[in-house]
Amino acid sequence: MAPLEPWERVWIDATAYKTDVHSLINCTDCHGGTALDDMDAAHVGMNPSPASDPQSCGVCHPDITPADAASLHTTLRGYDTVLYTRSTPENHAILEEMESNHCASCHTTCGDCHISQPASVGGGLLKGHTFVKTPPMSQTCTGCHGSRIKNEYFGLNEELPADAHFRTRMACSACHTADEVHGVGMTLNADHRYDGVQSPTCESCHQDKVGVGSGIEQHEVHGTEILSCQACHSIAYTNCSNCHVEKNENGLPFFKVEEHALGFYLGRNPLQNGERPYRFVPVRHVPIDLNSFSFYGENLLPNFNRLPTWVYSTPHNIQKITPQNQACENCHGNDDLFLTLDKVALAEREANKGVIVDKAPPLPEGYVKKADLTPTAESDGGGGDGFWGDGGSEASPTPATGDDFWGGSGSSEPTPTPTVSGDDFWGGGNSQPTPTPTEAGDFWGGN
Amino acid sequence: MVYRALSKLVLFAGLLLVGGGLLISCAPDTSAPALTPRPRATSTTAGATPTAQKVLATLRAFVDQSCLDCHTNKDQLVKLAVGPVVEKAESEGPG
Repeated sequence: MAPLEPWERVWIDATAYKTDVHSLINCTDCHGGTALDDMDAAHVGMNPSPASDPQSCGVCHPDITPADAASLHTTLRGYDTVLYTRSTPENHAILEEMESNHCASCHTTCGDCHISQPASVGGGLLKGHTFVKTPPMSQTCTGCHGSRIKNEYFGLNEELPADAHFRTRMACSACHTADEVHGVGMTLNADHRYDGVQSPTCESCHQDKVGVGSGIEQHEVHGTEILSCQACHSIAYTNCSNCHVEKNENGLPFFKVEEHALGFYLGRNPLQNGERPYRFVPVRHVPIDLNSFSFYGENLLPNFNRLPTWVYSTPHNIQKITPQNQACENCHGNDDLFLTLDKVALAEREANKGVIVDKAPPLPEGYVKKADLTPTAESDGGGGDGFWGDGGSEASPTPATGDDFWGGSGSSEPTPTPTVSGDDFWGGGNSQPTPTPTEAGDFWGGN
Repeated sequence: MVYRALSKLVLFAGLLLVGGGLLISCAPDTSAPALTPRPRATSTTAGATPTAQKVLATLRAFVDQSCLDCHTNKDQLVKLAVGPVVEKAESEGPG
């Protein structure tokens, strides 16, 4: 996404904004400063981001702002949880300094989604200062959730198809409700995004396709407590082996991820509880190693092994048919699919001992190999496309078997391009129509 | 002779006037949209929450016209707006 021009960042679209209820409020009531014809004098004491203080929005939106102020989007508490668990109190101050330099641009205020683009993608007004009720996902959500979620969901990882939900033109907000992203009704002061109730859940839309009684053979056999949905329905995702942060000679923070690769691995569930009872889940390597923050000091993570580096994951590249769900033996007895000891770096084996799988579960005794399961009406419970929703969905392309889905070379069917135009998909019913994505540059608003 | 020269001059002047008029009428309007003062409680407030309706009822009249005069004027902003100073990013790999 190309950064906005300087004028565009601060331009108010008079025609659109005068229909917005917020235009009744004096500019200086929120932004401070003084309404004067002298530009320099007018901007003295001016606050460009009044939404940084939740009280600004809370005057009129008291049903949202208290929960939002405590939500992970605002507090970034998930970072603190993993950093502090791996560290000791005497290092917290220096880690906070590191966070403010390298992580704070993903800190989200009301304005970062509803008025402006987030700082991590350069900021600037979204729609000429018009308040956008449902933020456009390609300018806001994926601005921060970019390298993993965006690439998976939009099908930007080479040779891998987009998420089935994306192909049916579902925007982030179709699953991640406003209440969820604002923290309303969510676990109070959650330590991380998988703390507390699951939201969203696959079952909320696919209730009749889950577990025993669904009529789907694989679901009948596995029930709902052995595998997470993603264990069978997601494909290769990005795993970053490390991330090192530094500042250059001018004090500008930067990061380096030296190794990253696509891969799909099932591990033992590190968060197994009543809410997430699964025995096996996809695990993703998070971008951290012992020396990630060594620029800021020595041995800042003395308790590194307290948390796994291969973590519970819900990749956003769901497919109806995946290599592992096409035949029993693709998973049972197939160690390549599991996070076995040999796939974990020597220095990280202690940290991941709760996640590492000894070997793939064997096939049941007396199992007779069947022909590969093909997506017939019988095998998918007779649901056809209905599995993904009520009609109108495109058939999920059958992934080519082979290396491509595991992150290597190979070919797969191209991701169908959304063809129906409409504002709702991208969010912001009052926004300009987003061009049909025909080229990468257009799609992201560049060029 | 003089009459012929005068006719040509008049014809040329006429063409110049017509051409100029056409050019002016086709030129894009780059002026800032006129913002007319609005009364309170227009349909703009229809979607506001009950709490917001109460707050809106207490608002002072809109007087910050000079802010809008500048920030709605694209041409003026193109001349005046300055972007943030961003050094070349040195980051590598997925963020």
